[in-house]
Amino acid sequence: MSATIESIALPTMLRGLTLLDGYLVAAQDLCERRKIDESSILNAKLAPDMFPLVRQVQAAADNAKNGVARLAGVDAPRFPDTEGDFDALRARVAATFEFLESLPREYLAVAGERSIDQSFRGVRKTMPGAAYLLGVLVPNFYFHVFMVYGILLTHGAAVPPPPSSQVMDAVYARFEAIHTGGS
Amino acid sequence: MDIVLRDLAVPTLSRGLFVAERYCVALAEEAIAQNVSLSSLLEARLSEGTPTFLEHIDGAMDVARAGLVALLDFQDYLSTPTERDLPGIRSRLAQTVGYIGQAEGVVFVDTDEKVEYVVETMLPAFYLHLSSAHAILRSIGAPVGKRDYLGDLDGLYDVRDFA
Repeated sequence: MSATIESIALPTMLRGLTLLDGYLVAAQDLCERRKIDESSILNAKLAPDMFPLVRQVQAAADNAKNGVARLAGVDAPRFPDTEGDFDALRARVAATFEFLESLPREYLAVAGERSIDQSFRGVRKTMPGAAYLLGVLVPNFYFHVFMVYGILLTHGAAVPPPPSSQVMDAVYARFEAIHTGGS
Repeated sequence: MDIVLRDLAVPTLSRGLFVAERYCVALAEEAIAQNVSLSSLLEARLSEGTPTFLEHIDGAMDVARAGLVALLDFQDYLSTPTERDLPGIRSRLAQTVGYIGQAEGVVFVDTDEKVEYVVETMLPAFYLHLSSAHAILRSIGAPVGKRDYLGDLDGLYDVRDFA
């Protein structure tokens, strides 16, 4: 059984958005516990020329929504970048999740061959859908998700997943399951 | 359209490990620029109790090796990292890239479980380590950007656009 665009793109985005929502809950908890104003965490950055946390969340959600919409050949809903607190950001993540869940799966059936525009600086470039998904969309999406994770770590948030060792435990548990025929 | 497991796993891992190599070079350059010891920057982390730069590079390699074991049953590829200096890490990176190269010519037996493993575990774990290494580099002031993280995309574009 081979993978398809649908079987890669949707679980990846839904999993990442779920992680992201967990990070936002941890951030809210941090602000409550330490009596920190939410805006100070929303505007926190890893480096002066990087996006602040609020923009990293918006970028992750937009990658998921717009990237999958491009693969499906549909227009994605537009969300204004006006979120001013964690509840609003969580609502945006939830709306993105709902959009992806509601997308008719058959729209992704020919996504692998769809030509995805990657033009920049006046140079025409396109990528086949499969290459775009694996080479651009998935890494870019996770980049923004994990920048949120990184920003929260620098502020001492109790971020739920995943310290390295736990990730590796999951990796080994899964491949052992594959070899023993478990699930 | 179906995507075979080899195309799902091999280019991703190989591109990502070249990014890890690029990050190691960027860290070494930053040590010179800041006139600090390389070993202290290898131990840089985002906060107390979280993995160091070195552990994230090791983590990316471990995910890649575990991925090959899971997908191809190449048991020899698992090893516990012992390298604690940059030449040792880069040598282990080169060895890991070599393993991935060997996987190019191998027939993958695709199963639902393996696809799920790649999507649910391997890819997020791999990108967690690469992104975190990137975040540490940025937090210490190293000039890496999104292009460094995405790696070489040239081979992914439609050739007909350039005809």
